[in-house]
Amino acid sequence: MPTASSCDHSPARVQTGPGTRSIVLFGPPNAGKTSIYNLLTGSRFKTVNYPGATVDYAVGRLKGRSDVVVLDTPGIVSVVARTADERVAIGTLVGVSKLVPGTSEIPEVVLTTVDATQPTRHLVLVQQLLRAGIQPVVVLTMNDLARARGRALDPDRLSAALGIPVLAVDGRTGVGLPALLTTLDEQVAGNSPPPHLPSVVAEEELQADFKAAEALVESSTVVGQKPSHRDASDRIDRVALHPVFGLVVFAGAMSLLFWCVFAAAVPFQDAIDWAVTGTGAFLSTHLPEAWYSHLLVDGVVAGVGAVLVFVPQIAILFFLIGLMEDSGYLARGAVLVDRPLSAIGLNGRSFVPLLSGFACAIPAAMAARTIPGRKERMLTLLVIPLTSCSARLPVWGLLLAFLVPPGHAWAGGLALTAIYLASLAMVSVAAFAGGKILGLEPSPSGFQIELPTWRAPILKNAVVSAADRTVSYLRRAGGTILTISILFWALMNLPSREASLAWTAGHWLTPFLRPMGLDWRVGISLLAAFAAREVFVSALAVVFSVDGAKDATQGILHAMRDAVLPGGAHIFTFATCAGLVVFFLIALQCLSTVAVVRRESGSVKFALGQMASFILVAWVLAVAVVQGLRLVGIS
Amino acid sequence: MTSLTHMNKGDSAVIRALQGHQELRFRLQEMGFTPGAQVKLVARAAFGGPLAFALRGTTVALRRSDADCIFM
Repeated sequence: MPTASSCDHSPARVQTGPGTRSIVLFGPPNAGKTSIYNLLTGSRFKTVNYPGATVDYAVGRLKGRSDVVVLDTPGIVSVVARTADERVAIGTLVGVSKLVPGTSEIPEVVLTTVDATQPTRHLVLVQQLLRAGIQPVVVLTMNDLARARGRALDPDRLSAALGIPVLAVDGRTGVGLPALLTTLDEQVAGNSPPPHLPSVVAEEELQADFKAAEALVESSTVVGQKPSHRDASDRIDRVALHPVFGLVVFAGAMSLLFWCVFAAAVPFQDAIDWAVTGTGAFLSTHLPEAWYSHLLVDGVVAGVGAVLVFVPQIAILFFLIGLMEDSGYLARGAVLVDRPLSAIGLNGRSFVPLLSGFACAIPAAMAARTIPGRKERMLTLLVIPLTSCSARLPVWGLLLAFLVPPGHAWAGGLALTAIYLASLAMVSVAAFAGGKILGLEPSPSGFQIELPTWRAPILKNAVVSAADRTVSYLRRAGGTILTISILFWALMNLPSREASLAWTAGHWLTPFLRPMGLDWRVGISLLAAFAAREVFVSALAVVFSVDGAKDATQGILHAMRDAVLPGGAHIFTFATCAGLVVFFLIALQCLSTVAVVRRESGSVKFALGQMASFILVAWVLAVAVVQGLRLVGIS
Repeated sequence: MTSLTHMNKGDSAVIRALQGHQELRFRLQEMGFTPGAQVKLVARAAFGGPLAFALRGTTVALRRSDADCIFM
């Protein structure tokens, strides 16, 4: 996901022909919808899933039926949409054909989930569907847990009372799945009339629905031995949300998260570095002295290798966010930060988007769909590009080598922590200033979030999803970086260095670069970084003609240390690298982020204004830092 | 009538009425905070942060100002 082009933000592509029938999975969040989707389609995990929330739909083929697709939709509490992700969910009830070619407009089957441990809330939605003219198939999930708590539901009694099929399915073991598949086979053969979805639900109607749902639950409950409760989960919450311990645990969890990203990745990074170096050395000794050998070693191996080194960090970040998502801690984190975030105009719901932003701004911007208030949502979209995304990691790694004395690993860690804290400070300042400048109306929506039952995260799920996200990152980012490395090498070297296009373009930028203490070579690397920030590193490697045979990172460092301006002064000094850090912290140089912000905000003006102002502020502050440092005698 | 913010940790109460902006009132009721529902205060976050209530088989956290619109 991390870079622009690497982020998969389109749903899975399932080839469908005309006459395809569709089943829409529609239901409340935290009701086991995803496990049912996985059982029905045989997926290992959702093909489209972003940290913290399903904010887009996923499409898969029903097991054993090549002519039937299953759509998973974002969680929803009512048939009246209030947030952008809820609109996605409700949109599927009347416009499947827009999403999956070959299907009819109205899905043949609407499948809704009811969590047996909290049936009242979920049955309210079933009643709203029935009133809208939709006859859903109800899947009763977590009935085993409800039974353990002494309040199992009888699906047959519920079915008789509602007049629609109700089937109990265990999402983890698949018990009950054959009966569900049989029912779906029958139901999907029929046609559904278009629903008449209400634009509003009256307060009295909602209250009556709850009363009716309570009565339904009462008449369908099989009371067991133990009383109904979820004490174990509440006991953990008493600590996790405790005014003192809660904050200690939160600070510890976040520190551990970032420590793992940097420290635990080191052995893997060393291994990759070793492999890249070996490849470069092997190629330069075995290939003939020709232009294509230079392209391969200096362009491809050096360029791609410089970025590959950071893949372990990205994978670990995905893995840890996956663990927190699975355990239920992400929702608790949102609760803990609601108060401080509300002080700068954001919302506890901004937590997951901001945390995801440290991996990649694209899924982060999409996760912002779950924020109900327009003001909070726009401000979150505004500040997401300021979170230090993983695409910046290669850049930090390179620049820190000039800022921190060699041989002091702890100093590097400290400097990196400072960069992340600076990133959070930028988020706060921008949210606060943005709230004032944009003049957005505060919304009355407040902050409400359901805290799903705590559960031990399933390690295998987190590993598989981190692996899949990383592979998808590599496939997409890898392609971009490879293409740009080659393109860049060509632009730099053809027909000759001095006559090359890059040389000319780089010189146009000189007026902007000189105040930052940089020259055209860094300038074109900055330009290349608009495709994906980490390309900055591979572009520098190509520009300064790093020999791929040397150590992947050390090679660039040597070349950069030797690089001088026409006057003879060194380009990469403490001051200019500090300036570059400031520039990369703030500048919005990711074209895909601009595209996604435009789509998510629904405003071209907002997206372009954000890009222009962030770049301007970044440049001004970077110049201020470089010139300020020079003024006090630090070159 | 007092609002839910006055509950002590571990206390249970029955919701009697909701006040405040129509949109917020509706949202809260969709989450299950309807008149007649029983709630229990599970936790309070630091610095006047959100309150977590056990309700209808699950736990829902509300910002203090939201909980102030619900009366017991």
